Amino acid sequence: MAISPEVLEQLRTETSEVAPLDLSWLNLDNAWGIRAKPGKRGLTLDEVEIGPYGDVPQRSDNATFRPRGAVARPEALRVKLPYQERADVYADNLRLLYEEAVQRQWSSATDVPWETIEPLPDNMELAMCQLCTFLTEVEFIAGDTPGQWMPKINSDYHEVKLFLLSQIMDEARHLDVFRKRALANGGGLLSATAENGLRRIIEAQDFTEMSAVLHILGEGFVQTLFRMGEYIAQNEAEKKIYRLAAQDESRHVAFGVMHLKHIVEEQPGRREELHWYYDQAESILRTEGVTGAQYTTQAIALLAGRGDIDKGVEVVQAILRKQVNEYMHRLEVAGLGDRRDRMSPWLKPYLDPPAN
Amino acid sequence: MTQGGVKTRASFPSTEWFEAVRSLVNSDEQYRRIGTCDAVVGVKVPDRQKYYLLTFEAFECSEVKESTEQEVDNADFWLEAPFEKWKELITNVKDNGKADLHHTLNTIDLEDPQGFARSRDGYKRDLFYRFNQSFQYFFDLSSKIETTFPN
Repeated sequence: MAISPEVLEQLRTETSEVAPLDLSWLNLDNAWGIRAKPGKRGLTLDEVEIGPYGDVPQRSDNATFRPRGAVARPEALRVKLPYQERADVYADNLRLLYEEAVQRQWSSATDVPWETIEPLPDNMELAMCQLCTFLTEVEFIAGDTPGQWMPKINSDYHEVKLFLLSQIMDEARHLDVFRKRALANGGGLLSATAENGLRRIIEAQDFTEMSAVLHILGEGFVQTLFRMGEYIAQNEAEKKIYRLAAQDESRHVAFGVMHLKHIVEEQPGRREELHWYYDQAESILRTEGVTGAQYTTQAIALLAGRGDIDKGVEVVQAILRKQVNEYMHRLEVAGLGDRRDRMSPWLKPYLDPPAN
Repeated sequence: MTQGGVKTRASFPSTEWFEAVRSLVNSDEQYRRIGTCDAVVGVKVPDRQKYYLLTFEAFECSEVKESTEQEVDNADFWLEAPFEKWKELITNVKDNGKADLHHTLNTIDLEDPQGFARSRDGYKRDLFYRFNQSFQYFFDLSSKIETTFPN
């Protein structure tokens, strides 16, 4: 194909003109000479947060994707203004939790000894599959919810973005592993739930509201469910699934506790607002129960009692007691100990007396 | 574990026993692959008045030492059970090569109304769950030790 004389002329013209050298991208004043060194855990976020890069601003007007420490360009296009206050989204354990999450990833395809699953009595298989259906459903929300908050996190607080991304990966794995377990032994996916409680989480209007309800209440209760799943597991595969999922969930709870602590300390005027979020969330638990449906709770009781539903109901009650007390302990660590007096009348009877 | 062709023999509870497991963990590539683990874990055998502190740091168990009950109370969390329960756990691990379905750390924790893992701080107790696979692996490796139990 012949090239047109006009294009040929244009190419000749462009190659004959050299653009003046633009050195405006150089950031020598700020960064030259900084050398991050790996520590015991490798080159982690803690090791690179040095010099001016380690200063996490209390407030940021950054409405672009400029990384913290880079020089701003006045011509950069802006996005919808994200959170500007560090206290609104931050927690002191973010870097640690992100690195821990990356280090402790696992594969549902290869790290679970699926070959140890053997046929179970029909009622036990169906009960396990109902539990796995519920957990798969829960994990959709646990992944979707942090996902929708990503654009609202300021680029100057990238640790929050990184942690939320690691959580989304964790929830993706949970979603797939419980689906796989339901389909691995003849039972399949069973009944979904009403989902009012799940909607409450995804419809949160504020980051702290989302974290308070998702990370501390929701994931705290689910973490206990995972531990119970390990307890009632019928084989090595289920043991490992629940143990590994509980580990992941504990990181999310840990973020929630430290974020809430950050808020209580940095923005003490928000206490009533925080209680309101918990008032709302606890009331939904009352209507729907911890698992969103009585039939799922009954399936858990069947598993916990190894087929004896009465014995299983006792175990489920003991687990609920653990869930409520651990929820309260976490709130106490975060500085919201007065929740003890304000807790929903439905949950309060499960509370042990306060430790001296 | 064999050291110079001799299988390690240690009495439980003792610093030597925990040192033997620590040595196994620190030379185990699979343990590293589980990921970083950072926690100070207490061990209480109250009816024998024996207390230990295990320090997990990055990819290794960096220290084990005998301690006092007060020091163990300040660990991130501690594992507490009477001697016979510890003996049952360790014997089960030995017999099966690892804990069977009824003797995992989490199962023992849930069966005890007070919990096997205890702490004065709800956030720090969560480290037991956050690193549970690492701690389970630590105790499972004790299957490679010839454990004796004093009367």
